[in-house]
Amino acid sequence: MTFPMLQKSLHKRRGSAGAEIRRWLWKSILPASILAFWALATRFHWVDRKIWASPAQVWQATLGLNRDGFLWLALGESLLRDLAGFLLGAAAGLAAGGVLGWSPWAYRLGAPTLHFLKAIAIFAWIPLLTMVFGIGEASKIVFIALAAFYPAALNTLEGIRSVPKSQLELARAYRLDPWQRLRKVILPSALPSILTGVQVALILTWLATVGVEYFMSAGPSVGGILLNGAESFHLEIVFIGIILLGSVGFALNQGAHALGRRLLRHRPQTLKA
Amino acid sequence: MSRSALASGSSIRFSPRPFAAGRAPAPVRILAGLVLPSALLLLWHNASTRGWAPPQILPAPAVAWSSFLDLLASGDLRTHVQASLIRVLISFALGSAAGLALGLAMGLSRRLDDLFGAVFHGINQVPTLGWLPVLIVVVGINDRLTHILIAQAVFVSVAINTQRGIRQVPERLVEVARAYRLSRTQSLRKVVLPAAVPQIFTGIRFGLANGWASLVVVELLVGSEGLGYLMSWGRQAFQLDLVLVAIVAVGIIGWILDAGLARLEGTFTAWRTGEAAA
Amino acid sequence: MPWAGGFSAIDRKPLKPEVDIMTTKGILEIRNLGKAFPANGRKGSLQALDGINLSIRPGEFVSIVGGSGCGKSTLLRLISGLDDEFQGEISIGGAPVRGTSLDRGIVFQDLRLLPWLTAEANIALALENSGLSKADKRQAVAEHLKLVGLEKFAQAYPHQLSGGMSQRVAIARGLVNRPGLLLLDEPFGALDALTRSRLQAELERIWREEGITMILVTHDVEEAVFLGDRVIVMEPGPGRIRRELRIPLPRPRRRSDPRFLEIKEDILREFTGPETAEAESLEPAGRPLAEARLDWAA
Repeated sequence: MTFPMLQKSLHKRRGSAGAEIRRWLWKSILPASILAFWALATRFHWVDRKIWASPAQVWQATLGLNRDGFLWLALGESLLRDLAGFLLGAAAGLAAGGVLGWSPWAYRLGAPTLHFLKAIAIFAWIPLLTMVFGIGEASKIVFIALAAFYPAALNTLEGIRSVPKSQLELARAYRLDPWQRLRKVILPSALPSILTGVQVALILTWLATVGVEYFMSAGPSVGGILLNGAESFHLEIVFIGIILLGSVGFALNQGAHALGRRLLRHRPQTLKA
Repeated sequence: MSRSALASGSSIRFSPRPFAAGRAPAPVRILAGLVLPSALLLLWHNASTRGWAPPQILPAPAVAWSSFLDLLASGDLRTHVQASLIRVLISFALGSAAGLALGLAMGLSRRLDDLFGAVFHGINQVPTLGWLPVLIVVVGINDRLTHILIAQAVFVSVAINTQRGIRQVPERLVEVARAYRLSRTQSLRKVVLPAAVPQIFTGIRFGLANGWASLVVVELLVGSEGLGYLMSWGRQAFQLDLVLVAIVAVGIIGWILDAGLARLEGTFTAWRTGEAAA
Repeated sequence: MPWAGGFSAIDRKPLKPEVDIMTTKGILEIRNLGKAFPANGRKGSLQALDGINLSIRPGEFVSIVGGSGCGKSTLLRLISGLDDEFQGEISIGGAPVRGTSLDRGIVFQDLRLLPWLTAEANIALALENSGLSKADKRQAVAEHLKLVGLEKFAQAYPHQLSGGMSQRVAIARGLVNRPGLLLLDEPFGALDALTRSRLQAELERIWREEGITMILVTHDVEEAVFLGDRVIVMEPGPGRIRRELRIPLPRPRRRSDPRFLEIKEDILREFTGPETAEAESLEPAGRPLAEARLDWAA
């Protein structure tokens, strides 16, 4: 086992081209062998062929499922739902977090409840929501909004509350009025934390979207594909759903981070962490 | 879904004392904290006594309270809580042990990181929820599914954070180990691991929170015992009181689990006291 | 490697200087030393050191003084063996320096105490591979805590210590192996003036008692003159030696001594020209401690 931590590494040493290729080969050993094993196992019936589809079958199923642009439709439905819930929940969360962070009294009154509610796994709300709002679109969007609300609220709250005292004193020394204080000191200082909250909200809402579609059957949607696949025991359909789920999540994450980096581009690296 | 961002734990903050608020004396803080819940309770009471909502949908607080007492007296609540706790603890133990092992391996060895990296990060892109239908098809709807699913949720978070914690040990401290010619084991024990402990704990706490959340999801669908089951049963029987009792229980237990880990973390990182203030 | 780990516990009894004559008492020879860092993102490289020639006798106290970017800290890192990539030669007693050694102690500019270890354990860290018995280690740690006047703070964690106390722990850690050579990288940069001059006097006492070679890197001319048998003045771009002077003053030196002041002025003129010779410091005081801690927290 090598121990890179303890080797001198003040500056990264560039490997030769040969070393780069070897490293790349080494990296692809495991994914390649898993793929190969999958292909062989389905080909030679080492696994139950009633359950396990072969790679080729997954590809055919994808084409079949998308014959009338169904996959795009499903993706669009899910994304739209996600967006609605996200906007609602993030806005409410930013507002609530802002108030709780700004006013010590609001914090004392609200924060313990907020922290307690956060401790409740969001999926635990599904039974309650369906009882109150039914299993229609409203209940789904409220659930998605709930997923966005906590991270947005808590990170905004923390961001504002952890504005350094020294900076607040500076604002007082130069007699900034509350509005100036907010614009010049508090918001810029809390921005990294708030952005983190929004990023997390974005990712969590996607999870919640697919989850709620899975739990409250929702017509053509990513969650619906997963549900259908599982209920009809078609693993290849489930895989398609997973790939959609994973790649949208990945894209959202990358997008959110790129946006965050852009907004914080003038700051030293440490603030973005 | 990119849990990577989430599993880092950088986003959702675990404060060591979640209820610490300002510098007001403790009784004031506690009383203030109770104002909002009391107001909600009052609203709820009024809503049901004045018939703003039909009782099948919104039972009176007193009804919910008595259902809670019934569940407590009959031992049903205990059975459900126990079932959930045992599931989550077994899976947590498995998942965090495996996560710690892989995280250490990937943190300490660039080669192993390269080897496992692609598959690990691929798996990491798919949230627990995505694995649920796969497991339903492959292992069936049973306790094994629950254990695998929750262990997976814990595993990912612990592995990522352990790997990151080790990678982020400051070079300047590693140099101290080199200056005094510490062996690998010595540097690991004295420098690398202690430096990584806070991040590893973030992973463990996040993993447990993830695991607890996933448990509820699974129990909503699977099994005949557990808090999630209690909820879904309450919903089907249109007994909101049961659902509420279960929700509150989920919250309280989730909080206690995290507070327990926070305390454990505190004993491991006693040296950090005051560091946050600096 | 000068130190091979073969000492018996007997000839490493604490506070007896006649240790390991072979390697520690050899002359430190630096010949035609150069060091280039790859420049970030650009082609070519940054020459940090060029054509350094220096030889240091055993038991000598050498101060290296210069402004920022003159490569003085880099030079120290090369001597310590933390950085092995350089041109030229560094040898002690004829044996080339390769890698770190317990025979060359180092006190880092940013201290680098491990925050999870007590003062005592931080010092003991340096003894992990000393080959001493447990009891001897404990005794060595206790004696060095006493040497720096921190007996009462053995159990304190770094965050509980003041800047000056942390500095003493770092010095004790550098000394506890009884190295033949102690390298000090701006050890007092972050301290207030009072603590600094007290620790300078203390360092001098330790140097005299232990009879070890010390190389001190500093940006403070007064400190360099106060402590050094010799002062090496360095200049940047690329880092090289501008001037060497012997300090003929008897010890302990007095800062108000006219000869002391004269030497100091003389050196300061190297940097500033005669009209601004009052500026004592060549660069802003070292990184404040809070910043070093932030590093860690991040």
